[in-house]
Order: sequence, then C-alpha cells, then structure tokens
Amino acid sequence: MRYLLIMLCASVPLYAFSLEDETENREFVLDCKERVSVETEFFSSLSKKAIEVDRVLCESLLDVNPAVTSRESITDREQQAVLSKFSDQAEQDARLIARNVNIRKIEVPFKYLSEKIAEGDIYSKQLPSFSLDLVEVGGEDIYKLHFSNTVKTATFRFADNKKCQVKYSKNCDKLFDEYGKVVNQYKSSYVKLTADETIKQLDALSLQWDRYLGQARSQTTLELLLTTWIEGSHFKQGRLVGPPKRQWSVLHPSLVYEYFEAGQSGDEYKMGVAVEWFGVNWWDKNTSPVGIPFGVSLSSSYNSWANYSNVGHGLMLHFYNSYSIGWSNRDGEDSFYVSIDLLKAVTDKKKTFEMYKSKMGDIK
Amino acid sequence: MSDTPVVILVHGMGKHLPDEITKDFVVSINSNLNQISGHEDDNISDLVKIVEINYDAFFDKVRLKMAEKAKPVAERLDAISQITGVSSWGAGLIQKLTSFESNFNDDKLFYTHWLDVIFYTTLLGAKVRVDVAKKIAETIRDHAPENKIHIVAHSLGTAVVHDTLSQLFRGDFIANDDIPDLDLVTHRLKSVWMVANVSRLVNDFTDISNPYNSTVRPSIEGCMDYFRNVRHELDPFTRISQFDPKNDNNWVPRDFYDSGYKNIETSALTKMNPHDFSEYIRNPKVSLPLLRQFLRIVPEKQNSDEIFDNFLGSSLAGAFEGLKESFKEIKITDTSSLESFLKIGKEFSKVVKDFRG
Repeated sequence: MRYLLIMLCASVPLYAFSLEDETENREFVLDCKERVSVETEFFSSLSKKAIEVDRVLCESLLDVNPAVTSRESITDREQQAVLSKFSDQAEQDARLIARNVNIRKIEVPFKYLSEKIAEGDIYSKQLPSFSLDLVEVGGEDIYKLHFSNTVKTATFRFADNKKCQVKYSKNCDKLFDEYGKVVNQYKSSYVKLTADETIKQLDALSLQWDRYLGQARSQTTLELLLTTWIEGSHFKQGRLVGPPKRQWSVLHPSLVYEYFEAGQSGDEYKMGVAVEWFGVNWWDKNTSPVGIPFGVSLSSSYNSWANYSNVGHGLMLHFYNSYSIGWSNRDGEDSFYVSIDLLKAVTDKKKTFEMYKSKMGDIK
Repeated sequence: MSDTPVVILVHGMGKHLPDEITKDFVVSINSNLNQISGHEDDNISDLVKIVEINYDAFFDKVRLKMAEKAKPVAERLDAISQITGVSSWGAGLIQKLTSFESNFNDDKLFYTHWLDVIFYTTLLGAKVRVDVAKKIAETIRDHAPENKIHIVAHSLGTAVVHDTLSQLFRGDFIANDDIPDLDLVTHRLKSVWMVANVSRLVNDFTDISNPYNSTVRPSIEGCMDYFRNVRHELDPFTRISQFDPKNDNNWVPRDFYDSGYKNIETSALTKMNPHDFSEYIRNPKVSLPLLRQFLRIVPEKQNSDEIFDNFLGSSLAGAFEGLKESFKEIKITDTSSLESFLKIGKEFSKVVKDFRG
C-alpha cells in the first residue's frame, strides 16, 4: 500500500489547456466631461443639447461608471427635464427640415421618443436611436424616419429627396444622416458604459469556462452530452452562463496501477484498465460539497491475475480533478488502484508514469 | 466620427479559416454592387466595417485535443486488451468509443461539419454563446450608436446567433444588476439576416430558446428593427423545422411583421450546393435588399433587371430540376431531431458530391 500512498502524494503537473485566448483585460475608459461632439453644419444647437444629455446620463450611472469622481447629485427629475428639452429641440429641428420636404406624420416618432425616454430610472433607461431607412412600400421607395420603432414612423417620398437642396445644399437623406448623428450623441456614453459593464460580466464567465476547460476532468463527447442533459436546467436559465458545477462520467476509461495482494502472480502490482460506468465530479472547490474538487464513480478494473477473475467491480474516488483511487472486489478479494486520468495522459503524463514506475522499482 | 455601418458575419458548420466568410461575403456582394450604376468601382469592404465571429476555431481545438488524447488511449486499451485478454464487461464498447474519438483529427466531413453541430448542442455551446455575446457587446460598445449594426449568420451560425441574442437581449435589462445582458432599445441592432436558418431545428434538440418566443424578432419586444430570413427552395436544412413565422399577431404584431420581417426565398443555382453561403449572397434577390438595408443603395428598375438577367444567365441550366429530383431521395420522416439533421446532412453531401462528380 505504501506505493499507492507514494503515488497519491506525488506531485503531478496539472495539464491545463486553455481553449481560448487569454481574456483581454483592456480597460475601457470614458470621461463624461470630455465627449467630442460630431461636426455639424445645421444642428449645432441640438448638438450642444445632445452632448449635455449625454454628460448627465453618463455621470448619473453611479454604479456603472466608477471613473467619475467629482459627481454632482443629479436627480431623476433633473434627468427627465434635460431629456425632455432635448426631445423638444430634436422635434423642432426635424420640423424645420419638414418645411422643405413633405414629411408625413412628423409628430409620430417624436411622440414615441418623448414617451420612451421618460420611462424608467437611470439604470433601466430605454434610449431609442434615430434612423432613416429606405424601404419599399407598395412598389414605391419611401424614406422612413423613426426612433427604434419601425411602426411609429414619419415618411417622405424618395422622389422628394432633392427638395432639401434649395436650403441646405444637400439631399434630404444626407441631411437626416447628419441630423441622426447629432441626435444619437445623447445616448453614446450610456450605450458604451452599460455595454462595457456587460462585457466585464461576460469576461468573468469566459474565465470560468477557461478554468473548466483547463482544470476540470477531461470529458468525451458522450460525457459532454450526458453532462449537458443532466445539468439541463443550468443551461436553460434564459441567460448566458458559466460552466456547470458538476461533471458526469459515463464509460470513461483510465489506465491504472492495481495492487492485489491475493494475486500471487509474482507481482502484486500491475498496470491495468479501469472503466467508470457512471459517476459525478464536483470540479470546482468553490462549489464542491467537501471543499475540494471531488468525484465518485461506479467502476470496474481489468487485469490478469492468476486464479482470479480478470474483472473486479467497485468504486473510484477522484480528487483535484487529476487524482483517482479505486477499489475493486474480485471473487471476494479486494484490490486497490490509483489512476491518472488516461485521457489526460498525453506525452507528459506518459513520462510521469515512467517516473512512477522507476521509483517503484527503486523502492522495491 | 464615421457612420459606416458595421456588419457582423457568423459562419455555419464546417471548417472556417479566419477571413474566409468575409472574403465570400465581399466577393458575392461585389459581384452585384459593381453592376449598379455609379458603383462600378466600389468595394463593399470599403463601405461597411466587417466584424467576423469565428467559433469554429474553438470547436476545432476541442476536436483536435480530443483526438490527441484519445489516440494513445485507444492504442493502450488495445494493447492491454491483448495482453490481459479482457474482452468482457463492456471493454469492447469502450475501445470502440475511444477509437471513434481518436479519429477526430480526421478531415472527413463528419468530423469537420456534423461534429460542430453535436458540439454546439452540448455544454460547449454555452461557452460559444458567451464568446459570441462578448464579441457582439464589444462591437456595440465600440461602434454604437454612431454606427448601425447588422448581423449576417449562416446555417449553424443562425442557431448560434439566435440563442446568443435571446440570452443577451432578455427584455429585462437593468444596468447595475448581475445579469450580463443588453437592452432591447438602447443597444438595439439594426438588422439580423438569417441565411439558411436552422435555429428552430437546433432548438428542437437543445431547448435553449424557442425562435418563435424569443426576443430575436423585429418588434418592440425584440432586439432589432429588421429581420430577414433567407432560404433556398432546395436547401434541405431549411425544410425541417422550418422557421416560417406567420403574419397572425402571434410572433409579432401585424404592423411590425409588415414593416420589419421579410422572408426571401431563392431558387437559382450557380453551384451545385444550395446550402452554400456564397450561393445565397450572390443571388441578387438577397444582395440587393441587403445593399438597400445596409447602405440605401438601390439600382434603377432597368439596372436591377439587368443584374437579375446576368445572374440567371450565370446559373446552371437545368440544375434546379436535376437537384430537385435528387433531393426527392432524401426522406425526411423525423423532422425534429438531431439525428435527422445529421442524416439529412450526410445524404445532402452525397447528392452534392455526386452531382459535382
């Protein structure tokens, strides 16, 4: 048994393989007060208001933007006030364009905008973007103006596109492109800061997956399918998730060193094969019920011992995702074995086995 | 600050080297763009910013790693089996399974194509969704709201994109909670193009998110303004568990269906593979609406007719009928299982190969 203990205590280099490139930790920096406004020929006043709204929303994201140190306390009411003024100005500027080109239902998208931005607190704002789309309706091309709602739209005809030339020296679609760039500034910081917060959360999930793929026990395709099926509720939460807490084993082969005192074949230690028929492994110490990565499997070991069955049945226990010990019963006699996951036994592990083998020889 | 549209490309099953789908997309779009009056010298890659998402690289690493590990195992099992004479108690089965995985580094179609589908249905799919979500969120952070963001996904990529978007855009966004998500309005996508859409089929097996009930729809309960579903009449993958929402107020309200959804069905063939991404995009029935959507580029009626005539002139005469006859042999009995998907894939590949050969 001492050899078993030696092998158990031996330090086996973990063969961790990361399947993803290392997570980028590029810091996203955004200064609420240093936002650069877009160049505009016709909407400079609107642009100032958009930048002001952008700053207010940016600084209000207290839990999301820790970079802001000197904060003024901006109340929800103040936010609503600046948003409302901005929405009014956006509508006024669009109506000025509408003096040159016939825009149907110009009030509709702006009504939707003003209603939408008034809803929710700072952490649950829904901020629509301005869009100008060229769509075909009933065989005719029309331009559709809207704020992230393709039903609440204002429209003008493709044939009228040049009507803005007289006053603005550019076609109406290009004018609205400029208008859109100016308007959409109001949500720029909010979009970027909140998306970055989500990216940080996804980075954390990515790291968990890297740990799973690098540290947990190797799994065959069959085991991946089984684990996915048994841990189905974890994957069907309707949200992006990290790896499951448990891995399930089925028909998992391992190379083992088996000790069988009753073997009487001249050498009671032999290399053999163990097969886990079914088992479970808590791969992460943080979620393991015993505080370390731990697993247990129903297993059989295969070996040729004189006067005894080639197959014994019993249990395998796994520790730290790399070490396994097992017990088998053959015709009423006990055997014990240790295993390094055979599927992890690539070249380095083969060398490790040779090392164990020679050490065992030396000690004998 | 440029307002160049951003197009995220997501490939289907099979081996995909970096930039491969980008090249296919650019060449296919340019073949029509350069026929539009005033755009003869334009290149789509100068007019839009292309962001490519490649999940195949991850599957490939897993596949090769499994093969690398299983190979010595298979050899040792075989040797030990011969020495010990052990053949009872399932040893033979274990040997077969291990030997199967040791072939994962093979370039055969099963290992390079269908294994991607199997991998995606396992927990590895959840890891892919996190990676894809991260790339989409980064694109939104770095480019929105200045630039409109579009997604074009093909084949298995449609399931990957659908499932990812449905989990990334949940519809209950709160900026400071612990759920990694985005808002349907604030972070909204401009359009999503599902080419050879298999999202329903894959969901029949994974049950991750039902495409008829998810936020991947063009309404205020969804995460994009426009949804385009593209399928070829002879593409067998789009025939089983077909994504075909009706205009009956169930999927989206009728007015949103009319304004935001379009199903584009193609039938011409220039190659003997109706599931091919380039084959889809090269068709002006797809690329012209795409150019309208991304860049508001629309040819005059006469110009448009010429583009269609040229395309039909380059299509393979009689190919449609010939292929249609051959596909009749592919029997679809079970329309909602992974097994049927793999079976059809296998038979489809055989038909295409026979036709080319």
